[in-house]
Amino acid sequence: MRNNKRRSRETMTEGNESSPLPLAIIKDILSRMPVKTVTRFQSVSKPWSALIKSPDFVATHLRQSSRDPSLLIRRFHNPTGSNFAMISFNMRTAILRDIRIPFLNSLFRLPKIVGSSNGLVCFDISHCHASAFVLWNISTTQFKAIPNPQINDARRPFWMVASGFGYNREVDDYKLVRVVNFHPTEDELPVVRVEVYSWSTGSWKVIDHRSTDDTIGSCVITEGVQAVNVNGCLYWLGVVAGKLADGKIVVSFDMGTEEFKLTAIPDFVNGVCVKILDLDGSLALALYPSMPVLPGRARPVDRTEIWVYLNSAVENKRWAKVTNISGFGCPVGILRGSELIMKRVDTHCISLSSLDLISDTVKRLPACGSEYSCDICSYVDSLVPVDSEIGGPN
Amino acid sequence: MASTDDKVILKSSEGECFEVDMAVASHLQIVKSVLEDCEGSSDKVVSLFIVEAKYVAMIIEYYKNYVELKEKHEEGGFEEKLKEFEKQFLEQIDKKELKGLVMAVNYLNAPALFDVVCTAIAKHIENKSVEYVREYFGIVNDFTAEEEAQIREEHRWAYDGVNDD
Repeated sequence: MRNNKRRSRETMTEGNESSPLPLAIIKDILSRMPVKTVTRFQSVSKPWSALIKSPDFVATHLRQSSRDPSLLIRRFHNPTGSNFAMISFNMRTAILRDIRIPFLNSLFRLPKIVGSSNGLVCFDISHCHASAFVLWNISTTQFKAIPNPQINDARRPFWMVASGFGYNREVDDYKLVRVVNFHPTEDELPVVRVEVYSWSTGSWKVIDHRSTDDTIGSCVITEGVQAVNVNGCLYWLGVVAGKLADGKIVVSFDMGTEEFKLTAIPDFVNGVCVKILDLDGSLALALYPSMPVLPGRARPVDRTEIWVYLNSAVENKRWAKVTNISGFGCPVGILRGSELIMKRVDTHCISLSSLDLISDTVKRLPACGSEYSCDICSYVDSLVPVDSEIGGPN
Repeated sequence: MASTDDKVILKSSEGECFEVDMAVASHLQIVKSVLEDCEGSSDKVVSLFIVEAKYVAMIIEYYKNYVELKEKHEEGGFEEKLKEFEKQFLEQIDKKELKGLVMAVNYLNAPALFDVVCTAIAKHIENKSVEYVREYFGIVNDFTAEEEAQIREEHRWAYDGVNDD
């Protein structure tokens, strides 16, 4: 029984310090390294180069690096946002790094982050109405301009244009969604048109308006609101327009089936802000008081409620309150499943902290160094190419 | 104290024998499956043919501590204590030996230690040059000078901040 293993003895006794390791082990080792290092090691040998470029390696590497996300911070130093910078902060190593924007000189204005998923960051670089986008992998320094969207305002003026970017595992594709609301004419509900850019096909597709009329025909998503990617769906906070007026609602878009859905949110008192969150793969909401616009006015109670949407049982879909948080400012987003990032604005300083909703531990993050504002999203080091064709073995 | 029934003997490639608690040896998937194959047999010696004694000793040391720490910190804190031990464990291993160790661990199919050693090798070479990595892994450069120059040119940004000590 034990002797049948002896045949491997001769070939493997030399498995000591001087013999090369099998490529399967090399793959495991390389998948734990930063993109910069593995990119450099493409010049070690042909087998290493082929290994590192393979889609299988890109996926393995992504699985490893996803455990260790960074915060991507876009900060600005003046109210117009013209003096701005991108920095990243790694939560584990606490390293703060400035990010060079390779396409900065070709910009008309300053980019807004549409979304960040698996190392790909989508920027809106248009003047207004989310009409020009760049897809950028910060780690590989690769970027590309996404072709021009198809829905335009030649016949009717735009009212509001919302966008969102994310990844869906079932279709293994990254999608950029553009939701266009045209100006409502008297006594008429706003007309919505939607188009979707697919990373794998490299093109836009306008969704049949009959399907969107029924679902989101009577609601509007405020321009500039960032979509949140939870489990292959994009979520925005929308407002139901028309006679009912002012009802906040969660608008979702399934990037696999390309269908919209509306979800009511819990009852809350007036003047409360709502932020959508991805709590460990579940849709969650943070409800928090709005800050006074005028300085010197008394601040409302600094209390944030976290609610999660339970939809496992078909008959019992509902919102459940998870926790209350006080004293850290307002919620920005969630990192690594359960770490809630909070932003607190004092007179001339913005401070960030991370609050683990499971272990209840609090960490102070470096100040984003901005006097005015900063946008924050999660980012992972990845080899995912900006064009799907490049993903293949040449 | 554990009875002799709970012990197993691991034999290195040189024929050196190591008596180990079953609780420790069962972390090595290959040992576990060999013992399951010959259940009921009184002979509890497992030959590890290709694994040198020094690696058998390292692997046993790791899992002995793993099992002890797990028992001691059942209530919590195991992961931090294990991390502390892993750091100290890796400090005594020569960088060249990490390769032999990862081969041995891979052969014995011991996932926890495989993860630790792969991460240690990754950390060691992370900031190293291409030349260092070829030498470290004993890899022959099969690119022509032109091919290599072209690849380097394509990703020049990936070559700064390299150190070779």
